[in-house]
Amino acid sequence: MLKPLAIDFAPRRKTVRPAGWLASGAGAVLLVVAGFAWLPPAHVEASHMSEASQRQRILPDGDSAQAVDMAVGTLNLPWIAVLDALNAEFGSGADAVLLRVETDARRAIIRIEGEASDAAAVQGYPARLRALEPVAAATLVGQEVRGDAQSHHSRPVRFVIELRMREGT
Amino acid sequence: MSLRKTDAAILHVTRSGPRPLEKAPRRGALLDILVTDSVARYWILERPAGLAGTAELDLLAAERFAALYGDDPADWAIRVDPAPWSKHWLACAIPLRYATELPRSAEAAGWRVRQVQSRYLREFNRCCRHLDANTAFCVAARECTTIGLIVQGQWRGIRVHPPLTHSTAGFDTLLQRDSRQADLPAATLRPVVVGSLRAMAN
Repeated sequence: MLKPLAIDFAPRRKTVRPAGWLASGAGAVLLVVAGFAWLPPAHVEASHMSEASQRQRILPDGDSAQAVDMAVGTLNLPWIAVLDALNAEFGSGADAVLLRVETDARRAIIRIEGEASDAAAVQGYPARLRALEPVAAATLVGQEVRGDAQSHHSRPVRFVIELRMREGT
Repeated sequence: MSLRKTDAAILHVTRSGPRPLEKAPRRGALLDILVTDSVARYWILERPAGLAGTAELDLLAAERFAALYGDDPADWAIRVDPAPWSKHWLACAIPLRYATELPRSAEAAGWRVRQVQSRYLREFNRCCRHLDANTAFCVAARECTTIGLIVQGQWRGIRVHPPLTHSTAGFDTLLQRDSRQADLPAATLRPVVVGSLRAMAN
């Protein structure tokens, strides 16, 4: 006795036969019975299930997760320490004033724009800012002499310095 | 054509092409497409070691088909029966249009295509439960004579010859030739012949 050959060129299709229907029905009944057998779950188990489902529900998608990460990064920046340090550097008696502070939390960069009394004062600021506790690096991005070129008085210099925060700050 | 729901009508595909397709008597009526062996191709595939999957098997079968027959496998529908525990597998190919376009046309005419098979496969599946493990199973039809050699339940050879009405050699001679080709002593196999010309074989 030989077995039939399983070669058929007919386009494959899903066929549901009566036996398949019966098996599916029996499976469904079994599932329902099993489900009722497990109900009601214990309180502890129920709370775990509820927590798990809530956790599942509040899981953000890719964009939301990125936004949340960015927000957390922004909140984690040491604002107080940075502002205190900048206040001390550019406070009363300093040879420069702060005009603008911008932050890029994702890159952990603070960009400050200020105006110094002269170019020599600007040259010293990166080294001074680099010495601050939360600052890893300070780079003079650009500077521009302001005022009338014919003036004999020292002319103010507008500058931009980028501060990179330390890892983990 | 039977009106019973479980019976299928048969659409014969001969050497000159498929017979005219009638409209289905009712929507979803079953149809079997039966392709003559004179347009089908058969060969025996030795089971390769370390076969990774069905895709690799398909590639292997196509490669072997091209080597044996010299036709482009892209124009043919190729199937293999990868029987477990067997070292030799029977492979079959029919022109692709009979496996794709013809069933599509039949479906458009209201039929539900149940099977598309070659004549030899259909006859073998009909008779296989009554066959011994050592059998030369033959289909002697008007268009051709197909002889398949089975030794210890495994396929060892299969060839399609001209019909017995047009053959210069008798059935015994054909069987001896095929057995010799497969390195088998013909006397060990019990010939079983079906088909409209079986009387000529006997």
